[in-house]
Amino acid sequence: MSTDSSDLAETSSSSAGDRRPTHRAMEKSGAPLVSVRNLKKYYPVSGGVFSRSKSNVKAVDRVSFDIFPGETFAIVGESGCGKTTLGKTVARLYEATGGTIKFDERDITDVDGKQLRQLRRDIQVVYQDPSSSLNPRRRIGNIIREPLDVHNVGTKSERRERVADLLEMVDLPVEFRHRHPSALSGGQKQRVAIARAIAVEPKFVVLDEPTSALDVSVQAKVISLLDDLQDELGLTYLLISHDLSLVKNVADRIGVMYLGNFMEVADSRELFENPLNPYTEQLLSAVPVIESHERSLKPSAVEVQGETPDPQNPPSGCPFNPRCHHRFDACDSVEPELVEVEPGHLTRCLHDPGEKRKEVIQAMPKDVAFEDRKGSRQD
Amino acid sequence: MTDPILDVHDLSVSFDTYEGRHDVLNGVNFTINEGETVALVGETGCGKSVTARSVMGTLPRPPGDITSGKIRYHGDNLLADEDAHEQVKGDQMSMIFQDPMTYLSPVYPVGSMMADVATYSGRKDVSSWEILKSFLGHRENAEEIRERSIELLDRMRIPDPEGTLDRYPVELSGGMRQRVIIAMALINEPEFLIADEPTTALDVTVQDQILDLLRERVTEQNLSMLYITHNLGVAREIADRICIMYAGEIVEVGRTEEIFDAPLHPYTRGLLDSIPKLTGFEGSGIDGQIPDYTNPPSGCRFHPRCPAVMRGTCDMEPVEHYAVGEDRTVACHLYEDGMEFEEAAAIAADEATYDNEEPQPAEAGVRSKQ
Repeated sequence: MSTDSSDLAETSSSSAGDRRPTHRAMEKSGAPLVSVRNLKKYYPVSGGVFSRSKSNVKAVDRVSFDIFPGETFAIVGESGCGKTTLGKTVARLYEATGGTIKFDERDITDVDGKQLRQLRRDIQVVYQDPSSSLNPRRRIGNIIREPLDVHNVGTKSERRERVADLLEMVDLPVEFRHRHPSALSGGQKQRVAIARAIAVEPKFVVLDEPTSALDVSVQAKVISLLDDLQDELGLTYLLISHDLSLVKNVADRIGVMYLGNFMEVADSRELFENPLNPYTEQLLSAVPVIESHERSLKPSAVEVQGETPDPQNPPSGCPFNPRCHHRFDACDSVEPELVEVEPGHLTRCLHDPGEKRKEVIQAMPKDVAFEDRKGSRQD
Repeated sequence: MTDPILDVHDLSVSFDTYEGRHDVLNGVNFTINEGETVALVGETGCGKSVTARSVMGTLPRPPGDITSGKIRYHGDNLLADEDAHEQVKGDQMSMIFQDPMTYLSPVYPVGSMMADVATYSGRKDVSSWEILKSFLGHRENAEEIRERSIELLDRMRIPDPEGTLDRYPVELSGGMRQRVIIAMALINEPEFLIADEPTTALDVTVQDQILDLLRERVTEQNLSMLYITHNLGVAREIADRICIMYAGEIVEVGRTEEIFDAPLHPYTRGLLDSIPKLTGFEGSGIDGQIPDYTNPPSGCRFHPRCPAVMRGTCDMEPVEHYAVGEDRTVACHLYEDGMEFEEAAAIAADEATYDNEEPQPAEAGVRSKQ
């Protein structure tokens, strides 16, 4: 996770001015497969006479992250935080408003035509609700074969064989190729969607809440299938989910998103054992537990409060400040940046409990030092 | 023990559809004692909501048809007398629904809907004149109702309760709408609440707050509640006892902690294993899917998916509810009536396990000690 100082200075005029670069490049082996810098996706809000566009909803605002080959990077957050928009923008299904997306060290932010077509082979998406992502009028075999047809893979008979192989890979009987989606259960449909996504041998799959529409007993099966496929095919996943317990067990690294940007990014284990951001703490403490000893993993004495504010009208300063249990004066005026406080562990908070707090303050420029942060805003 | 407030006995419900007759509920039994919260937990299509609707008397008939059973409320069988059911439901029961936007009218402000519930709930003798008067804003005791609404909204921790009364549901957030729904359910001071997945559409942080509020209300007013959910974690937060439901049958009943610490029925075990936890995730899941109700499996309805199935028994003999230890029943042929709990837990660990690898007999012992 790295951001150039120039980028920061350019985009963070509302926050703490010319801050020195605080993010270091993640020390991971090899180059990232997906590398996102300052990505923005704004939706215009129209209203009034002639539906003029009045303002923007910043669904994704200055997001930067890397995904390394073979890993599962998860985005968690509440509804409306922009996680799906981020996923779809990275997959080039939405046009970015600003920033860059690099895939395999190639800038793909504005590719089109033939290059975009090629890119579609490398990036595939599995959607939340398989009932609406599969065409009800086509047979399963055709649905899975369609990406092969589109990308002209192999001969006709090879494609037929490939469909049979794919069905086998997702543990469905080959006879299913003649059925319609309506004859399948939710879990089976999601398997078909997965088979379709991996048909053209992508490198990168965006999984947008792949199991939210499924019952838990089926969810477990689908998750272990995705896990097996990742090992088998060397896939890289971007998993979008609202379920912290699921993400903890599936993802290698996690980004916790709130109102269009990450509040905290860390290795999965680190995030749960040592959450640094108050928002992560509240999310964690709200997770209903199944086993008694899960309770020990939840932060104690954190009261969950409030709801996600209207993204059209986000709070000033830290986006989480109206709900935060560590809130202090400066929070509603100074916008914190995502800072690396431990190797690979980034958080966006002015106020960090314990040891980390000092480091965060040191990383802040002098003029917004702890005491007079409030004043710096008014200058 | 005193008599339970609600006693559902041998309830069977069928639905007539073009595909044939669906025997959805098959002999459902459970009781709720006064001041107790019982959670009905199961996956999609297992008959949770049909059970709730039967109790509430809102089952659409036809196509629904209650073929047998009794629903006793304070000892009176509600199914025998429809008028009495209407009366009891209006006076003493309230229901909280899953999706507030479906159950709140988009064209009336919150205050007017609350006033309507307060005025008309449980009444059959309302004259058109009265309705017209209320509609034109000349409701009797309007002030009192308004005050009560404000107080309730305030207790649901809605900021600016007075202003909220004049707002429309679209102006409120999802969590606020659900708070309004709960306030509406409480306005006539019911003694029995049915909550049908009230937090499913909400984010975890909001869910946590709503559960806290609901629990607070239930304890303070000594309400009895039937809480329906597919989320075992939520059931654990709110319920005193849990009934696990599968394919229209209740398969296991027990006190909340016991169900989680030592699940007995193979379905309960599979379900618990399937849920990702903060501590780990087996990812085993349960093979197969919920059966077709037009032709449900013979014997135990779970036997086609069960890892501990005994051929010749489970697929032939209908299963009964066996009492295991105190306050615990399980509908599974693995257990015998009156079996000691320790013995049952050992069997569960041995037989009804979803691990494809080595069985771990020590597991249940460890769990039951907690």
